[in-house]
Amino acid sequence: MSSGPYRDERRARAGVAAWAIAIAYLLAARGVGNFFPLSAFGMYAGRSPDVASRVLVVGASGEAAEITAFDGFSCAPSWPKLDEVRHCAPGDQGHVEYVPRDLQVYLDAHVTSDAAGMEDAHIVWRTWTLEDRPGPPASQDCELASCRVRRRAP
Amino acid sequence: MSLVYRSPYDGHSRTPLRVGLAVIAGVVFLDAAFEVASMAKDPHFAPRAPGLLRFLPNTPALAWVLFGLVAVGLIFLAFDRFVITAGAWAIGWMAVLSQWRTELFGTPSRNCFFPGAMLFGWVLGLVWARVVAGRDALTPEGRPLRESLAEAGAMACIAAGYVGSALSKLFVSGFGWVNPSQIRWLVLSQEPLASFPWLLAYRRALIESPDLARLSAFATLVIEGGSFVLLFGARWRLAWTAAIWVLHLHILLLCTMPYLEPMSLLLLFAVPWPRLFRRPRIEDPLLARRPELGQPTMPDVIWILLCVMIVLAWIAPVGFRAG
Repeated sequence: MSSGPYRDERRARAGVAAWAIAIAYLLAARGVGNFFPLSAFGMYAGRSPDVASRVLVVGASGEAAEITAFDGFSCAPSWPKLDEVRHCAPGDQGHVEYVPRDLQVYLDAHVTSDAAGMEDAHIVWRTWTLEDRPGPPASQDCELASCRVRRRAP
Repeated sequence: MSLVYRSPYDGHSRTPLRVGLAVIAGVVFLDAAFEVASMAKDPHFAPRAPGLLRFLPNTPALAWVLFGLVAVGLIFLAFDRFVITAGAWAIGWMAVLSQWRTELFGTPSRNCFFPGAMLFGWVLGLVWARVVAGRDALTPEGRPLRESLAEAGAMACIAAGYVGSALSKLFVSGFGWVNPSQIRWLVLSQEPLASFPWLLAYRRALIESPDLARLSAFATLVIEGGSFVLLFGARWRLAWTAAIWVLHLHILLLCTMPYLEPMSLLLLFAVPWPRLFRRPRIEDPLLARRPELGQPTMPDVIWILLCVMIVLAWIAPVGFRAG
């Protein structure tokens, strides 16, 4: 077994290495931003907008659900574009860029002409206004497509 | 403040750390290769500003070739063979795969950066040992010394990653990042609904309470910014690992953003597994034979190496700077 003083010395050297490498990584990452394996891990560092937006499906009863809760879509327009929201107020503000894109991938893979077991629904761009008060934030929906959808089997 | 780095692996073999790091990095990059191969054949992910892809064919097969090259390096590292070269080799090919993914997806995968940063720190620690102890560092006799420095380097990089994340928020938004909208915006724009009633109630509680949202943002900054205590000592490291776990579980439940990579890596490095499993203690014959190796100094070569890395990082025209 290593004797005490030797172990303490090694710990001291490891301590110098740890702090020197940590400071160097921090400084280098601040410089390059993100270049593997250096990262400033700056995701979501910007101040958020006061509105949040998300694509959802709203059924005939008015209940909202995720697009991924359905596995069949027959819509007008036939291939809805989830990022075409210029007609919606306040435009495309408040969303995370990759979220509608990932939902678009899912939607495009599940467009079908098989109408069996489908129900009426709307694909909407829902926007919440975030205020500094307790309670549910106010929201408004902007229709992107009118569809018949088939709920995914549980 | 003492610079002494205490580890639950002091006096024990660090083979579980080396193998665990290689396995976790391998699994993460297997997933990355799968993702890149899928995106390469999907027109939804056409690169908007190709850099690397001006030189590489955007074909799924290449992602698997790159993963194979990464795996070779990680296997050599796990078996403790040609460790510095193997680690650098793996990091190099990981960088190519990571850059390709960034060009296809639009943003870098930070999930890949956590094992990458720790592997980078591990290799820097090995280089440090090589500089200090010469060829002796790379012999079986030098394993305890070189892997104690490698562990310190790996922990240094993940600690720097978390502190860097807090600093990024403060540099971009200042203390204004702690506001009632920040976390509510993240939840609503990512996952406003939930399949389980308890999860929906949890998300709603935060969405409907600006004070809770403000407190969550504040706690995020404190936990990330305070992560330098991961370098203080074994008990601090364990306590802060628990805090980081709470943060990641919170993010997972609220936004469905799993950061399983740093969670598993911190679990591996911070929990006193050798004591829990009563592992036998080992000698450090190299330090016993050459006690001068314990001197807590920084060799000139390391100074130069780290300074060159910092300067290159600031002047090189690479890197993704958006959030």
